[in-house]
Amino acid sequence: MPITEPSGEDSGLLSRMDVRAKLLATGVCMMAVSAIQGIGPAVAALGFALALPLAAGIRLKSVMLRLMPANFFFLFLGLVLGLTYPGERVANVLRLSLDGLEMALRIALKGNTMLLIFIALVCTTSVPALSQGLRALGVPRKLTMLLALTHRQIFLVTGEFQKLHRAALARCFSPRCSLHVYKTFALLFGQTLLRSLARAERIHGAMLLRGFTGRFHILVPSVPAWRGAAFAALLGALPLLICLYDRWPP
Amino acid sequence: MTPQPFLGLRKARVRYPGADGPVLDDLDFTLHSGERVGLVGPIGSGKTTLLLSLVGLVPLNQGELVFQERVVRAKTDVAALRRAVGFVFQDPDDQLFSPTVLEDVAFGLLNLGCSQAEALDKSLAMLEDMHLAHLAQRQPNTLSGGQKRLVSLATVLVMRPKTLLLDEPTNDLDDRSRELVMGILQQSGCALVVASHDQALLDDLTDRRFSLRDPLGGWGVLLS
Amino acid sequence: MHIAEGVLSAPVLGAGAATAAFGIWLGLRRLEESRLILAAVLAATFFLGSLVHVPLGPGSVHLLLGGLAGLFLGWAAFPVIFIGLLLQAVLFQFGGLLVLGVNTCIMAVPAVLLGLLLRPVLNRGGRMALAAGFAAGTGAVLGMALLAAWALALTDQGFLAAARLIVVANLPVAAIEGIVTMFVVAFLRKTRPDLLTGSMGLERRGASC
Repeated sequence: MPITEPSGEDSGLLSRMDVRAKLLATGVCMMAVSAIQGIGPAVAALGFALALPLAAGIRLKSVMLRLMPANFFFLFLGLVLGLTYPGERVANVLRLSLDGLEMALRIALKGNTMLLIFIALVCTTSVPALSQGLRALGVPRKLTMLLALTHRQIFLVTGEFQKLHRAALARCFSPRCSLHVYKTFALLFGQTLLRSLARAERIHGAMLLRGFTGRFHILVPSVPAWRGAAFAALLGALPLLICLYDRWPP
Repeated sequence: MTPQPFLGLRKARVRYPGADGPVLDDLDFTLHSGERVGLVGPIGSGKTTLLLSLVGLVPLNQGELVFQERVVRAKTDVAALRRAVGFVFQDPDDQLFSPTVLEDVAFGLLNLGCSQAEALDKSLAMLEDMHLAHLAQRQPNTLSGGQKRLVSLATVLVMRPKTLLLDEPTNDLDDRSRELVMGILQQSGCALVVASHDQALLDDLTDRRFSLRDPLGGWGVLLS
Repeated sequence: MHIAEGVLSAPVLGAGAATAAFGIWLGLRRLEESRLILAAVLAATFFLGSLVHVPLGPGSVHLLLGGLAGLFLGWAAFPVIFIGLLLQAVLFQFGGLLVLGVNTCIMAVPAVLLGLLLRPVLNRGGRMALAAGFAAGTGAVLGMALLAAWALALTDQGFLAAARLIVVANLPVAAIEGIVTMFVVAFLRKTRPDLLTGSMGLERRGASC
């Protein structure tokens, strides 16, 4: 699977927002949505969330593609819940459970809403910016550094694996369901692991040569004022209102 | 004035664990101040090992590492040596580990104790000098091979080393990037040790050659 | 194995996030900052596993390699798996943000526990090492499936059938993971036996020269 990089360079409004504000808005929006119970309010929230990726300048087709894997799961859940959920049945051949179907519908609505929010607010941020944003929000330094360093290495490691895999394919390796195939995949992975260890040694050496003493001193970007804080509050307010309306209807 | 010996190995022997024989054996190598040496020899003759042992990354089994006429033993000696000697790895991906180009250029400066503002200024100036300023915020994995090579040079040059060790600096570069790299090395004013198969590069860049023996026989000899 | 966003109840999500935070904290404490680049390279390598699709019947499944991560990383597998899942969410929209804690626990808890349990067996080398590899690979997937099922069942009793289905569907995956993990261990036994008896060096103190 090719790695599609969230560029953080989309022209949309949301991609230029302060990362911290985006992360906080994501948290508030998602929690509000996750607390919604009624189908009506869930539909309203989905409507709100659908507008977000468009505001972020992401194309509709790309959004739909990204929603696909989760919706396979929701479909599976709908089938299973419809067939097995306890309670009242619809009088037809399959004797589907109404409660189960409603439950599955609610999950699918909320799940898609939350994914849309995530795609619009988090996936428009590049991983380096994301790691800086998380750091600014108080996530431990070691963890955010690990995130940024790992992201950089992923491209190298997958590159190494692809080279090995291609070489195997060129020698008539065809993935079938056999012990030989599993063994080959294990060898490819094991070889990649060894190369990774060697690379880690080389990078570590290169770092020592540039004066690394065991503690990372990283360039901290000058922290801009909380631009977009108001915008983030505004973003979070709508799902919160929907959630409040859902829980305590007037 | 005759140039002073700056960095060298005396009677050096390096043998990797599990290997059949030593990679370097009874090897003497001296680099004088301001000198530019080309390191030649077939694959497996120990060019990379020699470079790595010059900065203490590969420990010697026998012999001595000498820096400014002092044998390097203590950790502080190694630190002083590494401050004066820059090293450009064969694979730029081994050098560029930071999330963005700018952060990677600043990494060494921050390790040397520069303040944030100073590191930022110097890094930006370095990128500007090398006409790489437009890449400052890019992620290294989005760069081309030539750009990666230039950036990895920048990460080392920004620390103002007196001497530069380079391992195959023009490997997999197109002609244009190769010209750029050569120009930068010419202008840097650093003493150089360049391991390369690129004869034209060595002709243009270095004063003399040091050839390493074939892994099967012969000694490292000074050609001219 | 990811539980999608929007499925689990708030208490389950909260408990998952808290457990994950504790596990990550423990793992980070054992991770030397000077060896962070090694951890990152290993994290990227294990992340690669989730991109590798191996054939299973008419379809294919991607590898999880949780057992292998547990064997070689111990507690450090917790933050490493968390970072992997976070990147999967950001890059591929697998899983999500609120369920990230639960998903981390589902993968990391069996991986770390099996790793701690089987590491001494792996250290003995020989055939026992291969057995440890198989057990870690299989066990980690079974543990993940059971934890995922448990999270679903805790959310709503009506999920029980779906939870059972998830466990059953993962049985063949567990077998494949066991086989692949065993072969990786066999490969390392031949090429780098020191990795089986020693450690990956994540906890080495100070910077080496």
